[in-house]
Amino acid sequence: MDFTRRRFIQMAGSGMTALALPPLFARQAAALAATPEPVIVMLFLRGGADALTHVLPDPSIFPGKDPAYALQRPFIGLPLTGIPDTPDQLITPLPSLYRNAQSFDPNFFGMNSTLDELLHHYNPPSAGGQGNLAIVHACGNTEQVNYSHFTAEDAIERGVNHPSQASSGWLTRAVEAIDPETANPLAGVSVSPNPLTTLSGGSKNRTLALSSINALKLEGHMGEERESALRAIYEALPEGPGGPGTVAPTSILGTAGRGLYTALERVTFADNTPEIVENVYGVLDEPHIMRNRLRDAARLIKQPELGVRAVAMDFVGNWDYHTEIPKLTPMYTLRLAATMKRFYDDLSILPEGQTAGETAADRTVTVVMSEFGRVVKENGGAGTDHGHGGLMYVLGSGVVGSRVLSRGLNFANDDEIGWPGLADEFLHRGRDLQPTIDFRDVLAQVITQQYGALDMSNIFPDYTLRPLPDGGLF
Amino acid sequence: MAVQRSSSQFPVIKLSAVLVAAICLAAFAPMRFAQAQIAGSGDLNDNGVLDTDDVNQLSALVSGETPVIAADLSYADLAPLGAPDQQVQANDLAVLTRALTEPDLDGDGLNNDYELSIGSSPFSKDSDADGLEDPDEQIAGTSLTNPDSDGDSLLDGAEFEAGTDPLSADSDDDTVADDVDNCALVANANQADDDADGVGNACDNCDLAYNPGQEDADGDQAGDICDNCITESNVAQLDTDLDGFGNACDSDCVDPADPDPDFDGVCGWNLAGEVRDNCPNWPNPTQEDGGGVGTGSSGDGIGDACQCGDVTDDGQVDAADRDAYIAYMSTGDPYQTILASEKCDIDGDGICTAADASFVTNLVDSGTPLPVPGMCADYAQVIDHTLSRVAFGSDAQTRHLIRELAVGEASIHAGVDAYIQQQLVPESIDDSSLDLRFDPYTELDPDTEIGTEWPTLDRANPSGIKNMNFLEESLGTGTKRPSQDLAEMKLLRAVFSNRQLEAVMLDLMFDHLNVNYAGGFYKWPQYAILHYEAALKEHLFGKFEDMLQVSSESAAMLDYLDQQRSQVGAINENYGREIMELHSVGDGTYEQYSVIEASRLLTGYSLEQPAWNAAEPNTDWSFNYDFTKHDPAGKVITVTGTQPWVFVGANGSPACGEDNDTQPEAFVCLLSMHPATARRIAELMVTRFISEDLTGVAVSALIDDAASEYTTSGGDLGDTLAVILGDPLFKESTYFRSKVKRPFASMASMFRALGPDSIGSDSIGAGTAPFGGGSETRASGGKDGGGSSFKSDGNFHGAFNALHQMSEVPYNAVPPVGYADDSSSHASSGGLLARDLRARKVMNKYANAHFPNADIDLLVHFGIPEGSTDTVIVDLLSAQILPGGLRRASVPGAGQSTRDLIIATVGETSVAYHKVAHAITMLLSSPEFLLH
Repeated sequence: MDFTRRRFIQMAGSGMTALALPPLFARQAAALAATPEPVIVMLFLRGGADALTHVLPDPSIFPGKDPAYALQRPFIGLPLTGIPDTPDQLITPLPSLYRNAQSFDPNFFGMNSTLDELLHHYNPPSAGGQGNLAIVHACGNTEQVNYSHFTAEDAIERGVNHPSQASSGWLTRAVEAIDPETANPLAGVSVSPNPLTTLSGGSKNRTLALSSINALKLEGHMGEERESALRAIYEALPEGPGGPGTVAPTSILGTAGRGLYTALERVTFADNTPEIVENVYGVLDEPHIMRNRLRDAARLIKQPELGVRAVAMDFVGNWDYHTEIPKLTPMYTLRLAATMKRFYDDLSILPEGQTAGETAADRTVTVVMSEFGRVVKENGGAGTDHGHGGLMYVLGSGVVGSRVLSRGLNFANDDEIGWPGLADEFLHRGRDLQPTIDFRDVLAQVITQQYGALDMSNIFPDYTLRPLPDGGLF
Repeated sequence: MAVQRSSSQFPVIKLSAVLVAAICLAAFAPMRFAQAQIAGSGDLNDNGVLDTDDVNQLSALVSGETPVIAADLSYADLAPLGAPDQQVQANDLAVLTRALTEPDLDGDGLNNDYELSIGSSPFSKDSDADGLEDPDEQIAGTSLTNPDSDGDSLLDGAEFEAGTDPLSADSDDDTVADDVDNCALVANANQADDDADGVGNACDNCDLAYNPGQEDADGDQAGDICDNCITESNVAQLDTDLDGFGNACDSDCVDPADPDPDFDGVCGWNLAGEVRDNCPNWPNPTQEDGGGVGTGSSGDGIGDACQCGDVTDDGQVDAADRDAYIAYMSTGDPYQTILASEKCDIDGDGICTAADASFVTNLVDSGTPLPVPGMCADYAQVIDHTLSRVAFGSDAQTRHLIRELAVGEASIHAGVDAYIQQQLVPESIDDSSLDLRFDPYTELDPDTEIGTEWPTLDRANPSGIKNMNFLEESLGTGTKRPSQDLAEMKLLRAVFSNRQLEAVMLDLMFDHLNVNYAGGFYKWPQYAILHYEAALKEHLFGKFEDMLQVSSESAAMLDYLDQQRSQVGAINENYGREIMELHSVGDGTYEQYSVIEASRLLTGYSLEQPAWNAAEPNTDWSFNYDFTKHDPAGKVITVTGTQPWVFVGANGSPACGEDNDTQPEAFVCLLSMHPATARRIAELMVTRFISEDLTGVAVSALIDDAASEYTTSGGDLGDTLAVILGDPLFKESTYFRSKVKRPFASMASMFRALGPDSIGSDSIGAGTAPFGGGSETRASGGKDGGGSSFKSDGNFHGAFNALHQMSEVPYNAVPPVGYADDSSSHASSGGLLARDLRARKVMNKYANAHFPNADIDLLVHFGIPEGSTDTVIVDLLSAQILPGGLRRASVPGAGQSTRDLIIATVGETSVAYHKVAHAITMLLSSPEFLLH
């Protein structure tokens, strides 16, 4: 019997794993240098979040305030205290530092106190905050056709009035517009088991969906040979747009496979400072899937060599509260605020070995939105039904925060700052918060800030953009 | 003879089962040794290093200046020629001199000085001359200076080569020392040797025949005088038909249960692994083989009946075929222009396309050979397609059933049609075996038995029950999760039910009328889900109206869409909207005011709390039409396509159906019978069973037909489904593999492809894992510890977690639209990875549980003849896992075919059962498997 050294070691090791196999292709991410590029993160509150439970007008009975709030919501209106097993939901004042000092009552708005962790970002530096969170209220798809979740989601995620007007997501088209020629499958990542409509479709392979990057590992016997062969198998499939609405199954699989094997090749797992990141998220008293997904998003963004420009995910949970809003709201608002803050803290960690310089937080803007707001008047189950006007949060680099932007009843006037009102006579279609700002006007500013001046007529077709009031977001 | 195999007990060295088997052959002749000489150290001055002083001293010995005494040998006899020679001479001096400049003189990887420090010789790779080199001794833990580390009179190297443990004088721990053991590697304290040939029974390659030399010409561990096939290596000595001829030499049919898959009287595959029937899956009793490529060619071994590309059915691929292909491409209708359209698919992608046509055109016009030298994808594809749509995937048992149903009929299509007819009448099919599998979950009465293992909740603290997902998250590991039980039962139904179409329809209609278990009033709201599903199941092949009525009155739906909270003056629009938008007429057929009117109309539908009974804590809240909550004012609801429905006062309704006495009942009936609902149900079924692309002319026409049948049959789901499944479009090859399997379906079809024993054994832990790694937490609390229980099996638990990752946990879709039934919503990069990991873990567990001797049993199970080439292994496995075929042709500019790449990958390992396991998991992760 010929005893080679290799054979001996192979036998002497435990089982098959000692057999060292030559890598078929090298992971090269770490070796690539890249200029860090600005990123847009989209957090979607699927189900139609009740904006007036997040941020609300001062309901006191004084001139210039909005007492209709309390009349429309006798059971579910804030403040809410003494509900068993539920944190108190008080009204935290949100003083607004409007650029135009005459524009509107700066003490008009308040926030559900379960969102208080956002105050750190809303408050201006003079109050010890970062001043990089702006809230856009009484906004939405001004052309919303009806109250179906699914029609509204499809429209708003495609950036159009009605789903039939575009086949791809608005964020996909924005990423495409940055560089129409080259396609990086990692340019747009849905941190989600399935692609979000927001980041799907498109003419080339620019997006993928992964619920966790922890799973991106070669494991097991002959892992690399299998990976190499499966990669070739999937690359033989036709390439084409994936995502909702696509009906070519082989190109759907081909697109997903290309993305997977590109990610396997290029994504590395090292946190710059894993123990710090653990500390950042570890203070959340409750493990939650959003913690992991936002942490994964941060890890992707912090590797500039991957070329990630857009991240989209649902903020997992149920925002469709037809009943019991007072009891159900804190379960998610507490998490939303806490994870948003920690995500920002995570992005703010300097790369290992650096003591100063730009962090990923300095090049990231996070937008939070929902498909619509809810009916102003509460329904028969201490909840609210599908409505129209809602709100958006915009947090991050360059945002001139500490403001709640909305227009009053003269919303045709671009520069108006105000509040449309909650009394019946002010409601849209007699039931909804009037959408005074179109979501596309907000997104277009974010795109321009992060990606540069692009042709918005393709990103938001059939829509004429309007400037935002009070000088906009940035 | 005894099959020789042992599990290795070595403390340091673990040998794979395969290697042990090979090494065993040498184990019965352990080499005794004479005392070997140890090479000298060269460190004559004993200062721990080799230096010029040592050279000087040796030089004095060589020159005779210093007289040599015996004691000097251990310092100065340096074995320059490979072994000590008991002398001190010039060549010893030469190597010592070299050692001053060569830090590792003997080249064994250990430095000279280091060797001195541990007592081995810098001048010999094998200092103690025991056949094991110094560094290897270090790894093995044996002595570098004692040639017999364990003192059993056998050299360490000889022991290693023989497979015995050089660190144990009794390697097999049977009280008989290695040097006298007649079978040193297998414990046999009694030393039995029935044939008295000096080799113990325990490792005799013929234990009942005298063969002291253990001759074994084919090296298969069966000695020549008792080998049932001397000419082929057949370790397992399989003789399936017990005729004395081992399978490897036996020309009999391979599968006694299915010897002739196409029932043409000619054995399909034979036991030796050669094709017997020249078209094993196409009935051709006469075996005609008029040739192959080109007019006038002679027999090519492939029957005319399955000659790929021979669409004109004349046994040859020639100009007539080319012309037929061209005609097909111009008209697009294979049934009119191609005689044998099932022979069209040359590249094996499951579809007859222009690519196939160009292969034939190139062949006829320029002689370019076809990419497939073999048989065309056969009738197996039709069966595979059928089972991937009306069932949760193809399994061997049902394939056989369909072929049996086709016996005596013109073609396999008759068997497919007969199978579908059976499936449309589920109560005619015995499903008692599924009931048995449900036993660990339910014993007759779900109310009292299901969930007795579920954790107790504090009913007095109902606020804690509000959200089951979070509650379950907090249960902690090892706790039985009710939602997991539900998922397991659904998976059992999908994998094992003989009423497959019922299982598919239940999945489809549950999503259509989705509820989930996030809320509820019960100890566990999962009970309401069980009751809800059981109620829907009663109407899957009956009237949709009945299904919608029971849905509207169910505890699960009334709670999930909040209807029970709606009342006069304080309506809740949730259910009123979704029953129209999602359950029946669809978005765009009504305005918002009709949603409000419907919500007012539905007020009064509510739930009544049962009296608390500790013995039956899970009794459903019961449906109650509480007229005090009903809005008494009249309502008008307008849906496009019909006159407005006017509901006068509190009770007045347009007439609809029978016994619909209340406004809500009449409204549900009116919605069910509306033409828009007929069309939506038809689209729902066509999307599931035919095509996701509803825009084509043929598909649109079928939707019209199905919607028309729905209307004329009074909304009968079974009749509507029969129209769809009976339409020629159902078997149209265009739709073969035209959908991406959803995660649940891919999971279920994987288990069905692997066979019924791939889930559900508790005997996990034995044997050799094909892959290693991939540990899986097993849920605790299974009712049965024995092998009969399917509950809490490791594979099941893993399936639940995987479905979580892929976002399709059964019964847990949050939005009322349920899980989407379109490909694009379920194909993501992460999903592909999760499916691949799942396939590997399942295969790993399956092999662990069922094939403790994986190197043999796994091959036997999948009918892989010993010594099969990689190509044969992949083809045989592909025929079982993916009977619809694997892409065999390379794509121009895009590399090799799926088949070639899998064959190449299994070629990377020489271990046969690794080949099998890798081929299976790659088949399960291939696009071909993930499509249906």
